[in-house]
Amino acid sequence: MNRTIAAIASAVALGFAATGGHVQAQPLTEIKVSYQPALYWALPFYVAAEKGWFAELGLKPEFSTFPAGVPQIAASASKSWDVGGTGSVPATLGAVRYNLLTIGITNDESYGNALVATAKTADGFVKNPASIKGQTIVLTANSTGDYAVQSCLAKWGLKKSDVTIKSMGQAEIISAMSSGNADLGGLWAPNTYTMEEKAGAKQICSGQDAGAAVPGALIVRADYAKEQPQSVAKFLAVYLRAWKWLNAHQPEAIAMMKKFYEQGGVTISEASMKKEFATRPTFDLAGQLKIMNRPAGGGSEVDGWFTKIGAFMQANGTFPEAPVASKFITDEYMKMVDADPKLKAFANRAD
Amino acid sequence: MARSHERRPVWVGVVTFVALATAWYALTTLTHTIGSGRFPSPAETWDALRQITLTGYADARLAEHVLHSVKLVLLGFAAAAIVGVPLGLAMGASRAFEAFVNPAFLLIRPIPPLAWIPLAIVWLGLGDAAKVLIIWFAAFVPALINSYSGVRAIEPYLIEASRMLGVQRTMYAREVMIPGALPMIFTGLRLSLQACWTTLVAGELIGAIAGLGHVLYQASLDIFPAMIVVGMAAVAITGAVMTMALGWVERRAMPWRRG
Repeated sequence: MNRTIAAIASAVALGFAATGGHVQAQPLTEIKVSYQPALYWALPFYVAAEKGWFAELGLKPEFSTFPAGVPQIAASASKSWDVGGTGSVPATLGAVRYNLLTIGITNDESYGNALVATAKTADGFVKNPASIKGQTIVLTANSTGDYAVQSCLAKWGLKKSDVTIKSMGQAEIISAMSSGNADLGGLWAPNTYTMEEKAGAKQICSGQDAGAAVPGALIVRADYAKEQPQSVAKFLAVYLRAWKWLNAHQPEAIAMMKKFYEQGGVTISEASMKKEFATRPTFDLAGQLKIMNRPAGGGSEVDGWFTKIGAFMQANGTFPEAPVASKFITDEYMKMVDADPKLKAFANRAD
Repeated sequence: MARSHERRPVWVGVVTFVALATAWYALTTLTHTIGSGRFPSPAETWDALRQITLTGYADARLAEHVLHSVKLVLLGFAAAAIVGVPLGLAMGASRAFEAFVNPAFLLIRPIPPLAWIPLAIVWLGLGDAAKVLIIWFAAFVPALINSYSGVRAIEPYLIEASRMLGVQRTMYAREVMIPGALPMIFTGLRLSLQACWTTLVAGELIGAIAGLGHVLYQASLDIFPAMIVVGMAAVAITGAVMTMALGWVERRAMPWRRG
């Protein structure tokens, strides 16, 4: 409940800050932006709103927050939002169910999605991963956390059927592990840090360790993208500039991150916040274009990541056929930013 | 003539069912008035049914999900009946006992079963016991209230007559109180059984590995309307079968009400 109130308050604060707190001289184009509070990749929305960068490009963002990717994706059906950020699993689900497009990558969260073990069991599992066989793992089914955990099991030569998987939300996983009712959990940051700091748990394997790329996605409703391509490109430029600034001004960025996380009901140490920056690479305009580039007759790096995620979801029974990555991932809007000198310069500014 | 009157409700039911099925097909398949993202077509629902029956969904096949849910519902229902009915009868029979138990009951009664989930995990872990506890909380209340009301609704002249005849306490309970309260007890048990099914999804939020509630939860995470419809239909059919079974027990328990 506190998280909900905090999320509403932060969304209202973001909306106010986005307009610079004063009446703009020129009319602004409204754009509905969705995200999940207190997550690393959502920080640029907060920073950009605080700095008034949306208004600089003539946008007036209306923020809506969701506790998880699934309700966020479901809300797109009623056009509750136009653009946003989400995990790669919900982005793939959204592509299949509601024709959502992935137009960029928020960050590489391969390290931030992990299998975490309680303090008393972690060392034993690390020394002998085979001992995980027969154990119960609590995780949020069909999420990036689930994907990372199953990749870790595969790395150790274990199958899904070798363990008992119990599905629950992230808050329930923290509760179950803290109360001694589960020793292994699939979590994502900053929940991994919460478990480490509050219960002494240890991250024993991440998606990165298991060779599974777990990206975060920038998404848009296909119909909105068709109607307002310029607004979509401006949205991307604002997001990219925020990362440029965050990476160039880390002490100030940490202070803003602390405030942003606290608004979402998450309190982690400064060391963990620095770890977020250190372990989760982000992509500037050139980086986005590079990973989304499709060489003649081939797929992009991002296509490869999402193809594997689609296969994972198909194996889970989410849909009978995995979607073709090139059908819902497009670099068209990143190219629009690149082609417009004003937007390109804006996206690459670090001040 | 009388037979045609008896058959009419069955025919009405069949007509209703056929009309609904036709409207479903027309709106989702023929005219596409309702998109598949909002409500699945009969063909999509059939595909989802085939998937869960043959290859499985949410880590098990339909039969395993049904059996697991039936097991949880039966355990929760039995626990609710074993505790709720005797407690309700005792409260109905004794003002002193009612005064002793009622304050605690009045405090527990308005708490929604979902609110017990965090405590259920802490007390009983992630196994079936926690799920049964959640179901029990939902089913216990109607079993108790109706049993209590059943005793209080016994005609005063019957109570007076048994007192006048010097009927012993045990015989009074066996021959007057329980048979007199039985119709209300069964009403309570029907409501309890219904509560068990409605709380099943909440119960299976606690780290379930199988069950129809687990299917509904997973299908909601997958935004899979066809599987949600299959899960709902499975709950409806299984629930109806169990209600019919309870009706059969009711008729056997109260032979004097037949006809």
